[in-house]
Amino acid sequence: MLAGIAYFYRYYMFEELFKNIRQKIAITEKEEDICRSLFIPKKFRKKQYLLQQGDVCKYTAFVEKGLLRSYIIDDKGTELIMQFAPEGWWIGDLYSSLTGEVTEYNIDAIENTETLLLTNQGYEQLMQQAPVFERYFRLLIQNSFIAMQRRLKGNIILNAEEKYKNFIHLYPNIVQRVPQHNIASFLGITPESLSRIRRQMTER
Amino acid sequence: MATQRTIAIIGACSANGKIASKKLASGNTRVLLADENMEDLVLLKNEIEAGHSGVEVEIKECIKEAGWEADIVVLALNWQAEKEIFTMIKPFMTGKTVISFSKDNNCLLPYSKVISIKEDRKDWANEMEEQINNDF
Repeated sequence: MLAGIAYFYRYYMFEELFKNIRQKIAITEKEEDICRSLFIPKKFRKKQYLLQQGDVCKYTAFVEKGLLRSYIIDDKGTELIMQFAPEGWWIGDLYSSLTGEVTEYNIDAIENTETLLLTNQGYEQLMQQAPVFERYFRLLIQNSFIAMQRRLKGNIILNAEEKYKNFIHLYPNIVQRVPQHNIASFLGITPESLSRIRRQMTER
Repeated sequence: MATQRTIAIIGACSANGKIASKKLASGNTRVLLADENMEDLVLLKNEIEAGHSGVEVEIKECIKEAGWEADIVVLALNWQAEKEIFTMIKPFMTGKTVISFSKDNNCLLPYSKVISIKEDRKDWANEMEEQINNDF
C-alpha cells in the first residue's frame, strides 16, 4: 500500500508541470524521470514565504496547485505587487538567483500551495541531462519578456479600466481568489478606483 | 532576514527524536513532530514550547504531509521502520536534506542529501545542527 501512495504522488505532483512542458516541447518518459530527480516538491501554507527581501533567491518555483504572489515593499511600507502565480505559472527572482545578490522581492502564498522548486544547480543539470529543456526555457523566457513589455506598455498607456480588463484576460481564474486591494496594487490604481470600475462594468 | 525553514522530525518521541527535536527547535524554524504515540507527542510539544519561546512547534499526524512541507527531515526510527517510511515519503524527498541514524541508506533516497549521524558519538546533536546550518 505504501508503495501505492508513492506511485500515486509520483504522477499527481508533476501533473501541471508536464502539461505545461508538453504545450511547448515533446518529452519522453526518461526525461520525465530526470525532472522527478531534480524538482523539489514543497508545500507552502497560506502566508508562508518562499523568498524574503534581503535573502538570495535559491529557487525558481513552478506552481502545481494554489497561488503565490511576488511583491516589493516601498519606503512607506506599502506592498507593490509584481506578479501572481496560479497553477501552471513560474515565479522567482531570476536577477537574484543568477547574480547571487540579495533580492528586493518577497514571494509568499495567498493560498495553501503545492510547488516544484528548481535550484540553479538543478536547472543546469536539467539542461545537461535533457537538452530539450533548453528550448522549453527559451520559450518561457521569451514569453516572460513579451509579458513584461506588455505590462510596461499597459502601465504607461492604458487607463484603469483597460488595465483591469487586461488583468482579467491575463489571469482569468484568479479574480475571485485574490483580495481586491492586491489586484489594485498589481494594477497600480487605488482600491477605490478598482471598486468603481468593477461597479461600472457590472452596471453596463 | 532569513526565510523560515521547516524541519520535520519523524519518530520524534524516540530517544534520538527527542534530542533532535529540542536541538533543532530554535531560530526561524517551524518544527513538525510526527510519531505514533500521540500522548508523548503532546508532552514533547509542550516541553519544547516551554523551553524555547517563539518557536513554532506543531504535531503532524500525516508523515507524508510533514515530509512534503519540510526542507529538512530527521528520521529518528529503527532501521526496519525507516525502510517503510522511506518508501512512503520518497517522492517528497527529492532535493531535501535527510538526517538518518542508520547506516548506509543513500541508495533508498538517491535524490536527497542524506546525512548519516553516528549516535554513539557524544556530541552528535551539535554535529547535526552544524551540518544543517551549513546547508541553510
